This record gives sequence, C-alpha cells and structure tokens, in this order.
Amino acid sequence: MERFSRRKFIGTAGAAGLALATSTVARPTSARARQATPEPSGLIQAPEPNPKRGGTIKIGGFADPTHFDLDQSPSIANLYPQAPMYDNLIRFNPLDGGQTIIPDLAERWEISEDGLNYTFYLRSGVTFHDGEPLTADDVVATFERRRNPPEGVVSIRQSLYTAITAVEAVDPQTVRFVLSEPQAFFLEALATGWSVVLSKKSLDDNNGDLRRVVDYPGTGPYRFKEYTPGVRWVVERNPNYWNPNVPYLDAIERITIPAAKDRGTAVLTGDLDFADHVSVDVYQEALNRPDEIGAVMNPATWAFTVTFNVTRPPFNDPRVRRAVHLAVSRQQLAAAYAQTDDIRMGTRWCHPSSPLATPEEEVLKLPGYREEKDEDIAEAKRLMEAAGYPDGLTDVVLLLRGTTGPGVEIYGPAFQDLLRRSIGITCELRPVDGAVYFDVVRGGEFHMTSGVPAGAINDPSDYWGQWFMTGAAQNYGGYSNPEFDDLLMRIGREMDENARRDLVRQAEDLLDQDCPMFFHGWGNIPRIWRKDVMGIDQNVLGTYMCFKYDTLWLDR
Amino acid sequence: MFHYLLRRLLISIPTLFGVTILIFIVMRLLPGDPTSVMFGQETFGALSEADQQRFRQALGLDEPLYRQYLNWMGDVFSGDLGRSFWRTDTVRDLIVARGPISAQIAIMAIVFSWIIGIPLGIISAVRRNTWPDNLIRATAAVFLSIPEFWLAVVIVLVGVLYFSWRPPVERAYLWEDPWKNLQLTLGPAVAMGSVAAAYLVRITRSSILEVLHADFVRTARAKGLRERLVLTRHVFRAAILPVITLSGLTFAGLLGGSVVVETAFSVPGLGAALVKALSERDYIVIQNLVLLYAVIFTVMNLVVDLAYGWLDPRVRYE
Repeated sequence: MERFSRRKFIGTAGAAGLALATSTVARPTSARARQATPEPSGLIQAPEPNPKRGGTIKIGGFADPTHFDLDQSPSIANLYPQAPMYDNLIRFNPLDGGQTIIPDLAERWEISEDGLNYTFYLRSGVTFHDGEPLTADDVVATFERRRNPPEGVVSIRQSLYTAITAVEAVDPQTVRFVLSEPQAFFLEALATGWSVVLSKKSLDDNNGDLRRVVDYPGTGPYRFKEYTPGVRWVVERNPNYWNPNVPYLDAIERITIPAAKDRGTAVLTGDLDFADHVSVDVYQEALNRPDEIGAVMNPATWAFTVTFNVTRPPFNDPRVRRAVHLAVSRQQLAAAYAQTDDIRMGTRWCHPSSPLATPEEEVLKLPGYREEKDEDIAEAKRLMEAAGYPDGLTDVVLLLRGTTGPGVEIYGPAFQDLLRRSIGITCELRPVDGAVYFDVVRGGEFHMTSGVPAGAINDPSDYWGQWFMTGAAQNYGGYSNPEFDDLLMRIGREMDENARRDLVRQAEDLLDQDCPMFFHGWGNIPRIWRKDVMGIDQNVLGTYMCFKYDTLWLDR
Repeated sequence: MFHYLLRRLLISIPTLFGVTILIFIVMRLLPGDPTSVMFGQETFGALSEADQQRFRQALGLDEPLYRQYLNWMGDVFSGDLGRSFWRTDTVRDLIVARGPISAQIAIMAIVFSWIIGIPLGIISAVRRNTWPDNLIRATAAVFLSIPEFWLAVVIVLVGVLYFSWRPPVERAYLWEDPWKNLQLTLGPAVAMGSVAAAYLVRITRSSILEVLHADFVRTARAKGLRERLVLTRHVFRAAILPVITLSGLTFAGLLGGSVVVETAFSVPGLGAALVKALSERDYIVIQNLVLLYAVIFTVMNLVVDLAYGWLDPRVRYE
C-alpha cells in the first residue's frame, strides 16, 4: 500500500471540504516557536461531513500499565488508555498527522520576541471530571511537579522542561512560562500527548504521586468508567466536555490483547474495531481486504539499534564501530525481520518525519546506508585492519533483551550472521531476561546490545539528549564526545530553522563517524481498522501525539 | 477408607509446606528486583536510595526473609493470598476471575480426550493389526508429534483466514454468556484435548491388549460369554486403571500447563497470568499460583488413587 504522504493528505482533506476550524501554527519545527499568537477561530471536529453520534468502539490494547501516573511512566501502555481522559494546553493536530500545533485548553498563546516568555490564555468554563473548574493554578501545579517532582516522584520527561525557570498564574485564566534560554522545541514539548494538564486538587490529595490512582480527573473528552486488569479499560463520553463538537462515541473499550497477531486478527474478524501495533503479516492480510479493512503503516518514533559499549575494547575504537556501521547491510537485516517489524530504510539519526532530517534519497546514497555494499565492506575491512583486527574479531558479546521472541530469535542471529560474513566479527548472542537486562547493561559486561529506544517528542534535541549526551539516562554504551554535546546544546537553542537544520546535519555527520550505535532505522506501526470507523488520521506520526480519539465516530 | 483418606491428607501437608518454602526461596534467588522491574530501570535508577527503600518497604520487601515468608503464610491462611505488587487486586481475586476459565478448558479438554481417545484405543486393540488399527495408530502418532501451540495457532488462523472467525477477545463465563464462553474455550480444549487423546489412544490400546490375554478373560470366554460382554464387563474395567492415572495427571497438567495454548487463543486464564507474573517478578502472584498447582496435583493424585479402589475390587485401602 502506498504510504499516505502529507501532501496527499492535505489535498484529500481539502477536497473533502475539511471543515476543521482551528488556529494552527506554522509547520516547521522552530518556526512554531517563533510564531506570534494564533487567533482562535473554531473547535476541532471530525473531518467527514455529518458524523454520527453514539456507539462504543472496541480498540485492541497490548498491555496493562504498571501504575497510573502518566508523568512517572515511560510506557505507552499508560498513554494509550489514559490519554482520552485528559487535555493539553496545546496539541498536535490529529487531523494532519500532527504536523501542526493547535489550541487545546489554551485557546490562544503569545510568545515574547526574545522567545523567553510563553503566555497561554485558558478557555473559560472548562471543568474537570469531578466538577472542579480548570484554573491557571492547575496548570502551574502540573508543570511544577513535572519540572520539580516532589520526593519519591520521578518525572520521566523532566528534561523537556529544564529550560523553564518559572510557571506563573498571571490570573485565573492566564499562565506564563518563563524560560532561561530560547528552546526550539518548547511548543512540541507542551503539545506531546504526555504533557496533559492535571488537577491541582488531585495532586494535593495524593501528595503529588498518582501511581495508585486509576481515575484521577482530567478535562478530556472521555472520563474513566472501568478498569479490569488484563481484560479491559473503559472510558465513557464526558457530557460536559468544553468542545460541543466532540466526542462522538459513547464509550471506548480498550480490550487487552497482548499478542500483535491476535489484535490484528480480531479486527479482521470484527471482534475489534481498531488496533495498532498489529503484526506485519496480519497487516498484509488486511491490505487484501480493502472493502472491509483500512490499513496504514505509520512512522513510529522508535528506532532499531545496536548500541556499542564504547568503554571497553574493541568498540572503544571508533574505527571498529564505523566498520560495523559500514559493513552490515541494513536492507538485508530489515528483510530478515520484515514479518515482525517494518523498519524504514533511508533513515538516519534524525527522524525522517522531522523537517530537520536528511532526505531519504540522500541518505540512501550515503556509505553504510546504501544498498550496494562492496565499497562499504572494503572500507570496513581497511578500518578493521587499521584498528589492529585484520582477521576480524571473536568472543564479542551481543546482549539481547528477553529470552524469547523475534528480537532474540530473528534479529540477533541475522545481525550476528551479517557481521560475521562481512567483516569476520564473530559474536556470541546472550539473551537476558527483561527483568535483569538493565542490571547487566549497567554492569557493562557486554560489547554490543540491541535495543529499540524511543523519543518522547519528534525532535533530535530530545532523543539525542537521552541517547548520546554524556551521562544521559539511556546512554547505555557510555558514549561521550564534548563536540557532540556542544552541538546538541546549540541545536536546542537555535530558533532559525535553516541554521538548526545545518547543525543537525553536522551532528549526523559526526555520529556517522563516531557511531555510538549501529543505527539500523526508524520503525513503523502497522495500524488497521474496520471500514465503518471514521475520523481516523491515516498519517499520524508516532505513538504519543494524538490519542484522545475525540474525532473518531462509527458509521453504523 | 476414611483412615486412608485422612492419612493421605496429613501426608500432603508437609508436601505443600515444602513447596511453599521451595518456591519462596527460588523466587528470592532469581535475579531481578521486582521494584526496579515495576518502575522501569530508568525510573527506578533516577530515584534516591531513600525513595527506592521506601518502595521496597511499601511492598514488604525490606523485611527479613522469614518475616516475608510468615506474612505470606498469614495471607494464605486468611484466604486472600496477598496482593499483587503490580495491581490493586488480591491474588484470590485473580484466581477467582481467571481460574474458572482455565478449569473449564481443562475439564473440556479431558472430556474431549476421553470421547476421542478411549473408543479409538479400544477399536485399535480389538482390531489389532488391521487397517483401522494402523490408521488410528498413525493418526495418534501425528498428534503426539504436533506441539499443542502449533495446533492452537492453526485453529486460530484457519478460523480467521477461511471463516472470518476467531475466538472472542473478551472474557465470558459459562454462566454469563454460554455461547460466547464456548467459542472462547472450545478451541483451546480441542487443541489440548487432541494431544491428550493421542496419548489415551496408545495407553488404552496397550492396556487392553495386555488384559485381553489375561487368564480371567480366557475364563470369561470359556464360560461362553459373548465377546461384547467380555470386553465391557471384564476387559475394559481392568484395563481402565492406567487410563485413569494418565487422565488424572494430564488434567492436573492441563490446569497448570496451558500457558502456550492460552496465549495462542488469547484466553485470560491462569497460565497466562503466571507467565506475566514471572516476567514482572511479581513474587506474591507466582508463589500463590505455584502453591495452587501443587494443591491441584496433590488432590488429583488422591482422586486417582481413590478411583482405583472404586474401579478395581482388588485394591483395598487398608
């Protein structure tokens, strides 16, 4: 199936008379931050004419959350079921794939000329599900906890808000964020699905820790109804929702089905209406049934990688790392894994959906990324020789997370085989139970480890900061390069998009030489639904953007 | 009989006690800290040592091992079995919610294996070395070789691809929605029952063949009894003992060992809960489920032994 491009979407939406009336900010990342106050001109609604109201949609869920505090969770197992219950100040537009940012609880906002003050004007008459009115104090309490969590609370995405020096309630309907320096991705940080606005009262009542509170109130289009662990999470329509256009559905039932194949087949047979993260084979079967099933491959914000432990030989030598980067065929590795996951080729360190990314056709010409391997393997062998390993290497440990599953049974062996055949590196696969994996990684007893790290927002400042910054939480290989750290800081501060793109390109070139990881490629999410489910954005990016399901409706 | 029962029940107490100690120790020896699994390594690592300690305290993991064991025993005797580390419900709630489905599947599978396995085993023995015998033995060999989960996956895939049907994705109890419940349980029962039936075919056949040559059968025939009566009154009753033993142990195994089949059919049963608890290092859930399986095996062994006496007049419980 042809990927549904942004341009195509906009054209289609326009032709369909997309009635969405929202104030949007300009598209390019840094331009968003510079944009002056957008004027409110309407409220979001389904893109199709005459949407029907009522009905319960059944969506496939893949796991239970381990607790219920969104700010303390790194897992989308929280975001998926909980997001429909909450609103942000601003949000990614669910109808254009998240390419623009539109008002949510803030009906408009202003950014000072120096980019240090962001003032948000809240909608009036918004109430939480417990009847309490939304005020600026709720926003202040939410973001104060997020950037300075109380003792015993961990703010997982705290790094997104480090530039904030103060969050102030100017008046009950106005909030101001004061930054210490301009931050190119600040609006994205507020628009991500994780940045929901919580009630000050529920935070106070629970000492700032919501891990054990399943139904803390939000202002979102749906409110909590039922959660049965391992079975279902049900939310029902919020009758007092501030946007009278949405939601359309009476309820959303999220049925827990851990296996990707089962989630998919349940949509094929009509037991579910919608599922994402289905298995690739089921997705392909769905493509054979275009009359009854809709199917799309959406870009995910996680990447398939093999991290090098740069603190010990042989991968403390960047030449050996680059040899692997050049020699292992990304295309062949992706083909070996194709029935499990769709890994995008022609993608580099920066996510391909970002305006800062190197274009796909350019990436596919670069050494290491291109399909033709002869030249790359010859260069890799020269590098190995120069590093003192002319005959290759033995006893290299490749750590795998988990003891079963396709990552262990397919990806690891395929990588092992490509590495051995191309440059004679023989590695031992060491699958480790998920419960002890990070302890082993921390112990440093490995040479390489495969992983699928994810970003909280689609901006390299965020995920590079997590993966490659000296001492960062997810920098498992111990990579440290002051030049890269400095570049990353400049990328975060740079507000001019062209200048920022140049810096990102420099950083990508540096990473191609330094190779803290074998960066295989960014992932895709197969998503399928029954054809009578309407209001679905087919071009949505990532897992964290648009999961309020407020524009969904059932044509029944 | 009563004394025998009492003696057996008393003997089972130290057995179960031993199981509790064994599983408790094994769980503590297993690498992986439940608190760090629970909060995620990045999250947990970012907590101060005092906070980490607070979380362990909240779960009772900071106490000396003997106290943790005694706490668990207290929960077992109080009947609620303790609380899952991860979820708000007690382990009793979990067993009450998931146990009936697993038990129903096991019962259906065992009944299915009887319906298929015993008659075919008898036919195979009585018509020894004829084409029905060969066909039955070959088919049994095929089902013995097929892994249960493969059969389960095939059943699901054939349903989806050719009939646009798959087992319901939601839990349904027999007393709430019998039709949906049957759709949910029939597939796993057939998958597991087919393999169990193949074992039964073989054990029934060999057992009947052995009895067919026994003296009392020759005597029965010499008395002029019709062959059907010889088979039903004499042969079958004597030959059924190994079948009962096998069925009893298979049933106990089905209750605890249906993990892969439950997973293939996405049945929310106890097996799936145990696997999940293991990956989450949810000690309390694992300990109680293992204890439950130990109780099931102990009881099934006792039931099998009692069934011997009922079926075979030579067995006496003195």
